[in-house]
Amino acid sequence: MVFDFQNHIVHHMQNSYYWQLPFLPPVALPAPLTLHALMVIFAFFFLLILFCFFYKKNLPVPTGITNLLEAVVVFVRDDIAITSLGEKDGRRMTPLFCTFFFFILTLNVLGLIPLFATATSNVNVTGALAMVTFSFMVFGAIYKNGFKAFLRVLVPSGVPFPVLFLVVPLEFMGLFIRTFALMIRLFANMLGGHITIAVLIGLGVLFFGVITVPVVALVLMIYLIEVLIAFIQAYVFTLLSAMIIGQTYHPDH
Amino acid sequence: MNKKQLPNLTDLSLGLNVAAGFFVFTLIGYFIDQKRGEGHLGILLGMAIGLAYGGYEIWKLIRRQ
Repeated sequence: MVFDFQNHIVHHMQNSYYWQLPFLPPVALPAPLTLHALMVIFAFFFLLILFCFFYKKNLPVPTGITNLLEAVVVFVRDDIAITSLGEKDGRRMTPLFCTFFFFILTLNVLGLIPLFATATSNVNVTGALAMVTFSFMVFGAIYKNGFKAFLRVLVPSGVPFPVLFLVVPLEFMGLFIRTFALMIRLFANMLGGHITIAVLIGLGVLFFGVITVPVVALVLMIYLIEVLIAFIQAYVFTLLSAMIIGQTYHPDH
Repeated sequence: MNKKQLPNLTDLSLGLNVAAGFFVFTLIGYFIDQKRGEGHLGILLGMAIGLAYGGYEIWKLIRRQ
């Protein structure tokens, strides 16, 4: 049997209406549901169960999973939300950033488990997450400060008046571009890592023999780096969201 | 992590912001050309504005430092 290298890589990356399971025929998913959408639903239920049943809020001294989750929540609150938005707004926005962090982390890690897929390697998923950030960046800032104050975001201080005709449109487009960059960063990082792994495994299968052993070792190393990247990308998305929301919430700083 | 370290982390995103700006403006120029149905003025203007946006992002970073 000839190994179809290209199809192997493309199939591993792309969204599908089938869920491939070993030794079983592909499971057809109900019509509007795709594999990545299924992973999003898995992540939703996983987080729901984790925080509803395993997180014990009333413990006098948090232990086990409660302790672990609290440490992460406190980190997101103190080092991301409050640092970017200040004490009052930071505390108010912490649930959003915690949701971002845990949701992206779960989706990233879910993709590293065999048989599951990485929903964050789908640009629609990262685009939807970036749109939430954009909504808070624009509509949240208008709601908080009013429309007039929001316009101050587009006018940087200390710039001569004639230059403003060039700078204001660029700042306006910058709102969209930063959101776009946020979307692409997460998508490209997750997709890139998986392509690397898929290509190397494909090479190992294609040139099956002595070369397979070092290739598998290399894949294992990249896989471990992918675990690190899953955490880093969840952190980076949350941090940059907090920073760009903070810039529109407090345009003077 | 203190407040001073945060801007340094976000400055790392400069590269992608510049690239995304160039891409978005060029894409807008491309669509304008498609709509007009002739010439390449839109795409060239889009690239120029994209480069200007990249320069502006770098200028903002230098100003912050």
